[in-house]
Amino acid sequence: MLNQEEIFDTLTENIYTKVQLDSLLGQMEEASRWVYKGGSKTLSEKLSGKVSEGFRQKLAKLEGAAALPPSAKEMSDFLQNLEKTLEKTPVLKLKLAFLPDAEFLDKLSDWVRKQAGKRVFFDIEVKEDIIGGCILEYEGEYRDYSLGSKLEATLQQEVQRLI
Amino acid sequence: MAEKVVLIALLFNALTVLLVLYLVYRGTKALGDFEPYIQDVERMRGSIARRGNQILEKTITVAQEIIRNAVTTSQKNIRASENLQVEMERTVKEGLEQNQSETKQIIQSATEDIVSAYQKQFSALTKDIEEAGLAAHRELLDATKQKINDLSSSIQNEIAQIREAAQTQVNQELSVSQEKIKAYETQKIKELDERVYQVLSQVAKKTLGRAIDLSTHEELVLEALERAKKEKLL
Repeated sequence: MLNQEEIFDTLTENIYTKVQLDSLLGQMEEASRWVYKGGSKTLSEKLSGKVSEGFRQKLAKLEGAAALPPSAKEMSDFLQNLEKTLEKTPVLKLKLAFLPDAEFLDKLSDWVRKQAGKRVFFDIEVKEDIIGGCILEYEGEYRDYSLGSKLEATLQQEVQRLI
Repeated sequence: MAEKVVLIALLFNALTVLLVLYLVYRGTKALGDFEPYIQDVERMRGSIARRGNQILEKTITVAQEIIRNAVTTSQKNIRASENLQVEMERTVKEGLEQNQSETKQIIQSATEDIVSAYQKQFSALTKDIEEAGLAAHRELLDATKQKINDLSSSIQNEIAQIREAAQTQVNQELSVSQEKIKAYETQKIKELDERVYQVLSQVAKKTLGRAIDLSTHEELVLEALERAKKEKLL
């Protein structure tokens, strides 16, 4: 029997960004609508063709491990709670000079979880003029760790010195 | 019976023929009786016709004579009229020429008299005016010389004051202008520096970002997260 966190981890596997999270929430809403419909089939069977195959397989995996509630009512409550939990998960806004791939996002997500002890989703924006590094926005705080800002500060100092 | 009828009919026919022959004879005889009368009438008609022709010829001759006389008379009258017109024109022309000549002489004489009188008058008047003008000119010249002499010294003083004031103002404005130029120069240099800085910044951003490889980018992001952790942001 899997605990709540393991179920959460399974469902959010390979989900790193806010865009991916929104897509997952949409599919969970679709799943909630099919809990009471479709007769005696399992939920993953009912959702065949209705949601992404990745999400359906994650559900099938949980069903195979008997990790999901047995009754329709409990399943509905479970999905609603899970949606609320996901919606409450904090978002770390990152402005980067390049478009990160899934591997790097996984690395970042893992780093945040291990180093900061937090689970976050990333809201990625690509801005080439920051040159390198990143600009962070997290829970109302803002930090500019970009090379662009360092370069500007240096240039300004040099110009002042020349004047 | 039939033969009788035929006989009677033949008799009637014979009688009728005889009657016709008689009537023809009588008719021819009657025409012969009228022949002399007809001849008389013909003679009379010829006589009348000849007479008429004679009268007509006579009438035409008389009429032609009258017309010729009338034309001749008219031509004479026309010639007389033309002569009279020429004579009258000549007379009128001569009269007009004489009148013109006389009038011209009268006007010329009167004009000469008037001009002579005016010349005399103007001559006297011009002399008076010249004398008065010369006197006035002399007086005006004297007065002007005096006035110029009076004003000359005060004008020189005023010019000196104005020159001094102008020099002072020019110096002040020059000073202000130099300050403005200095400020403008400083501002422009500042703007230029700013622009140079912006250009450098843009060029650097466009070139440096591309020069960094992906692994370095990723390292820089992880370093930034480390800093965020140290600064208690995460």
